[in-house]
Amino acid sequence: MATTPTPQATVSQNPFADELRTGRSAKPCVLVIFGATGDLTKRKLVPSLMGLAKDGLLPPAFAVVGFARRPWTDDGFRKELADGVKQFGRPDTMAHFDALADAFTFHQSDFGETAGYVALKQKLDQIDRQRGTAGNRIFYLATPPSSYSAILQNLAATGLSTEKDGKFARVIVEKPFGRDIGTAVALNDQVRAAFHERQVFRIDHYLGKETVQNILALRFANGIFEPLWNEKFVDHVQITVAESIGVGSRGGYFEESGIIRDMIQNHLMQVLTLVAMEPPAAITADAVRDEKVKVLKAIRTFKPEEVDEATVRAQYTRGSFGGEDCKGYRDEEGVPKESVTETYAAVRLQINNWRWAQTPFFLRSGKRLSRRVTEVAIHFKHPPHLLFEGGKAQQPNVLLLRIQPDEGVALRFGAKVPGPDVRIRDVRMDFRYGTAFGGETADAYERLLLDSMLGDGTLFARADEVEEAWRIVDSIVAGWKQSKRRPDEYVVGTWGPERADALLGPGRTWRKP
Amino acid sequence: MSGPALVRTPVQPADWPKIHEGMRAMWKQCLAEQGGGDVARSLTVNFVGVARAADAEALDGALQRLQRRSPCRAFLVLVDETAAAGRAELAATTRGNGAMRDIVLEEIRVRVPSAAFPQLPGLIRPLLMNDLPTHLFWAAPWPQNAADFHGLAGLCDHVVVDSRRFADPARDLPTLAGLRTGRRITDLAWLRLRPWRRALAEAFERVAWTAGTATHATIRHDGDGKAAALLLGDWLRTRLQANVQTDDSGAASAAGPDHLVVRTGGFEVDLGLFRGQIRAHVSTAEHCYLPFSVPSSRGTDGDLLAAAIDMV
Repeated sequence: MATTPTPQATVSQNPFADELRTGRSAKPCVLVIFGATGDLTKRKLVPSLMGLAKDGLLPPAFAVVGFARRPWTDDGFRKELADGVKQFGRPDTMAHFDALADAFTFHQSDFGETAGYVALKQKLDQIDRQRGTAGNRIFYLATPPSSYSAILQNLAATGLSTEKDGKFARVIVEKPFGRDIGTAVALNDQVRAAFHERQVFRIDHYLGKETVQNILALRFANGIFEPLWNEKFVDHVQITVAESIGVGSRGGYFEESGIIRDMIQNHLMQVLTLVAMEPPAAITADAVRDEKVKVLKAIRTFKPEEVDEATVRAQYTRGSFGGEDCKGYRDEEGVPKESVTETYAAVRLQINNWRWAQTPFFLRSGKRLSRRVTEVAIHFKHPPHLLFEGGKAQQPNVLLLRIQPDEGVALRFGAKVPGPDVRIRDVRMDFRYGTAFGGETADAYERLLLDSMLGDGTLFARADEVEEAWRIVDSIVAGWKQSKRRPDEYVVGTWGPERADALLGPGRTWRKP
Repeated sequence: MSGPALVRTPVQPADWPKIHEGMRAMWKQCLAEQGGGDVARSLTVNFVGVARAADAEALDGALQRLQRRSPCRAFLVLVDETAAAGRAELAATTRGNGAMRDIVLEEIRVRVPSAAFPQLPGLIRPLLMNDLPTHLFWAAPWPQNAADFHGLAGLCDHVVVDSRRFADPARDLPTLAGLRTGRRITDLAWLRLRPWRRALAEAFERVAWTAGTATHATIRHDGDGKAAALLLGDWLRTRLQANVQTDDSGAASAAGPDHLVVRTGGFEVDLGLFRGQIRAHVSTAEHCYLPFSVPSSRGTDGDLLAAAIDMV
């Protein structure tokens, strides 16, 4: 029987609809990737799609259109993607790419050329007819932010961003979501001129990590933690995202952002909100994000004169690390000698609500630190009365959420040392994801791509979250600009500048994970 | 992603009353192999597996997949009418974790004739790890004596069977259905059908179907896939009130259906195996869609077993 284009068939009740709801099955759709010739598509997006295919989570009626300026052919595009799946995909995903290869096509156009979008629309309609993708589209902006405006305007102008007759149109936006509150609001306005907020998925890949999601599971699926999760029992919280690498060839880019824009405004703020939020009424996108926004709103904007006392910024200096001589930041390619851009920042935040009124949150992130690690450490208070000899020397309990590497949860507590004396020593109970569950862990992009197909925005940043995070970060940056203090220095391979210890206050020390 | 290297201790024999002692010796051996470093036990489930001795290799394969997902203490019961009960073989598998190693699998393997089954619950019960869920995987043919099954199932929170191994699925599947009341039972044959069910559901997204429409379905399978065909047929009867025919002339390698056709209400859905995928053709009198595919397999028996245990 010949394949002939026909209008989309009318769909009545599907007697097997529950099979599509079992687990997390996405509806048929086409994913249009703008900037498809870039690294992100090859290294992350398509390998992640094949991971979904391997796990049976990709809708069978599915297609990808790569949209970019370069004059590639369908075959050239597929070859490039096949290389990406081979190099960066999970084991055994190549066969899935081979089976789906003809669903990948390339569309050449300039991002600002309206005719290119008219042709894209025709192409998508044809794919719907041939592949049963049902008129559902997801547009992935994998381009530099400077192209967003042209793409969004053209998607709106050609009607591609409009949802009708039960068909969805969604847009995925990659970070950075602006570089301050002004540019973030302008970007959000541009996005909202083309799409409703419910159609928008701002991707911060940190939220796709299993261990970040486990923060919610740990807090709200267990009865024992939540009663302790407040200022009565928690002395302070440390959130660390440390990298052992330097800025490498990204010196020019990094010089414009610094660690506070590159890491703290997004990844650390997202983790902070998950740790500090109130229980949502349900695990739905808006219920969770409403609570996250409340946390950010409860953090006061810094006055410029407060910033030096509440933050530490620093730059790494030359040193030996792992047997190698490493450059200092100001000697890196693309970095001016007089740079004051921070490669390390530590910030004390106070969440002004009933739960956390007396509990400071310390966020730190840096490059060229001792090791690559992301963790949340909940430091509990000492018991009100120390019964045992040497009790004051004993460390308080710490609940540690390790996000990467060695993903897991550990609890430090005191135990009696065997023997006739009553002596207490710190011991640790340890749960490790890799040991308890083993198996293959899906990349964060897999989860986020699937959620975007399902229309579940829980793990994506909402416009108000982004803007609130910028409000806080902007006030820190403004304080640094007015400050006469230059950034501190720390030697490559250490845990940051000495002054960071003073930030914590008496009796507290930074963890050296 | 390849995980850290696994190391298995040599197999240690032990008489049944000495199993616990033998396990302590096994842990010491893990410590000695670690050269004085730390060794931790990281087990999350108890597992009881029952198979014919001739199928030991398949059971071992499934266990290896399972321990990657759910580190476990495993009791492997191999039914061998020539064996004498009373002896066990013990082994442990450790996995590197930085400077330390985790014990991720403790195996206690016994070979027993059917006549020794009544002794097994009393042997296994005291060796189950406290506070961990216990899963029974009945990978043997359905027993002549139901008490053999009930004795072990009574120890467990969840039972996994594989009706593909039933000698007479038409007789044994209704028996299995009767056991479901008050007990969690998962049939791997039903999980294996998930890609077929999914493909059919996707196909019906493309067409309009009205309840009560006369529907005819044909399921082709090989001899080994009879149970799967019966399960699929029952499902189609329930959902579509279909007239279902089965045909056992299918490809021997399919171990389940290899072809399914559903004709109803002016359209046809044709699903068939093609290069490791289920390829679906949907056509009406006027046109047909481009075929779509879904992967035909959700993994090995071990993967399915691990998934079944995850679901509980």
